Amino acid sequence: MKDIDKYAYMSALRPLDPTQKVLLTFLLLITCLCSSSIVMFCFVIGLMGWITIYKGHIVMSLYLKLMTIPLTFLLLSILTLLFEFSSDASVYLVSLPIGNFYVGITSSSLQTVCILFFKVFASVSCLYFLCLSTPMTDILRVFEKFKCPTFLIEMMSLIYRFIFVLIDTAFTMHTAQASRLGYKSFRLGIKSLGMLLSTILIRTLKINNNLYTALECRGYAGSLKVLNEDAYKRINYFYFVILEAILLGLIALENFLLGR
Amino acid sequence: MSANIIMETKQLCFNYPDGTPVLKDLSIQIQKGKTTGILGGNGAGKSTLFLNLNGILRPTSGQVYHKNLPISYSSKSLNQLRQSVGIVFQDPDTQLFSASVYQDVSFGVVNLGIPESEAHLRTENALKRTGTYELRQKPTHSLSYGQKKRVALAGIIAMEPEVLILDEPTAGLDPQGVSEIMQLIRELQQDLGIAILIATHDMDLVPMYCDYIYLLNQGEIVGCGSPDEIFNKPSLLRQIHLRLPRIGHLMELLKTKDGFPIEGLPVSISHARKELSRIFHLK
Repeated sequence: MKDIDKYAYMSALRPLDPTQKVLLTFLLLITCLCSSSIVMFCFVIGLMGWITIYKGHIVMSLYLKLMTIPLTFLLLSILTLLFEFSSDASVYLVSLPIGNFYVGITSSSLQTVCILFFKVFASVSCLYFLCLSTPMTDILRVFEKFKCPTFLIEMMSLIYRFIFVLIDTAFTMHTAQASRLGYKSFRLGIKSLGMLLSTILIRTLKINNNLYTALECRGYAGSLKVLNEDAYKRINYFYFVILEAILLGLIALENFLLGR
Repeated sequence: MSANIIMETKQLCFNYPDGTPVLKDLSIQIQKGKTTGILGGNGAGKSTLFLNLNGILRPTSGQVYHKNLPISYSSKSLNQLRQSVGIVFQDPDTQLFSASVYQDVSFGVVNLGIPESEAHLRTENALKRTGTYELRQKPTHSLSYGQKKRVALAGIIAMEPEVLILDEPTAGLDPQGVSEIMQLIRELQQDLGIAILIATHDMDLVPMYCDYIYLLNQGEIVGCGSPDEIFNKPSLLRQIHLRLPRIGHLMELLKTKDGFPIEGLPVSISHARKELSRIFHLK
């Protein structure tokens, strides 16, 4: 949990302007969601993988492991789309009779599933590019740039910071409970977990009070205004245009070859 | 004399809302350019005292003086007071609110309302001074406890306070971390000439850095003086759940139980060494 955040900070792509990274991600994401060209999806998967691994210096095995996370969800949803239910066996490529009905795979369902599979992976690779190259604080700055309400940004930033404090506290308490056999049996475990959660709530309120005092000591007057270092590298937007042109070209090419 | 006093409390009393007294009749003085120590066991009221000094808490009776004037509790003067009196809290996790080190250190500076270029400069200076400049790109939650303590310190230094209050600056640090942070505090004082107020119950190191010490016990001042004067009252220290520095304890035993002709009571290694050398005519 703590690690995925660490990779974004270590990434060689971190010094790039976060606004550009967000724009690039959304440009590709929208193109992927609006089209159904498998060639283009493969291109996006390859490109994003290459950028994240070779330009961002993220370890390949880690990247592949991360890519398998959505696989379970994807396979489950694909199964429901793949099989159709009908009384006519002739529409199927492969079918299985159940009573008077047939369950099977049609060519159109196979095509839908293939497109969906690649579409999901292309989109996921776009999002991983962002996650593995842009720390949360940078993403919040982009929100700020696009005039997201300040209180939302401040809340996100505080939640993000204190999630880690909370996780640390929870883990320490869990270890302390476990070392006193608090999780020996299922019943005890449930009881211990309940105690842990209620203590965390009290602890949270206390941390909140202390934080407020500490902020007040530094002149807090209702808003968390801070400074940022402005040392981002920027790339020419011309490359974005070329990339989009390539994507559209690939879509057109596929349509042409398939005679659509 | 009084021109050197930057902060003072007179008969300061503070009760919790339920009426429990925390601070009783406290009168202390903080001198410019000096390090003042507040020694007291757990629950002596050190942290409550500090929050009274920068106006977060309001005394039940008595007064807090800043530059010879009683502090006023209007929001404008409180802001000025808090700029001048900076508190570094014991647990850095309660003070660091941002996931970015740079952002966190800049927070207090931005609140001063100074031009942005000046604010950047001060933030960077504070980072460099506390040896955290290399950490500025790192997320707060990935730092070690000692690093967090320094970042918390940087956030206060950046505001350029005249009085720097440190609540248990060495608690939870390893021996090297302790000497580093005390060295850092000493350098800060030499460079900036600010008044420093340290609360601690670490008897071995911190008192050596202090020019003047107050002993606080259950909300009351039970003794004050230079470190030498304080350490010449070992029974008083023990009464309030403190002790002599280890070296001091050894020298006390050598003097009282073994009849060594020790003059005074050396509490630091260098003093003790000099005294023992003298006794054995080694020099």
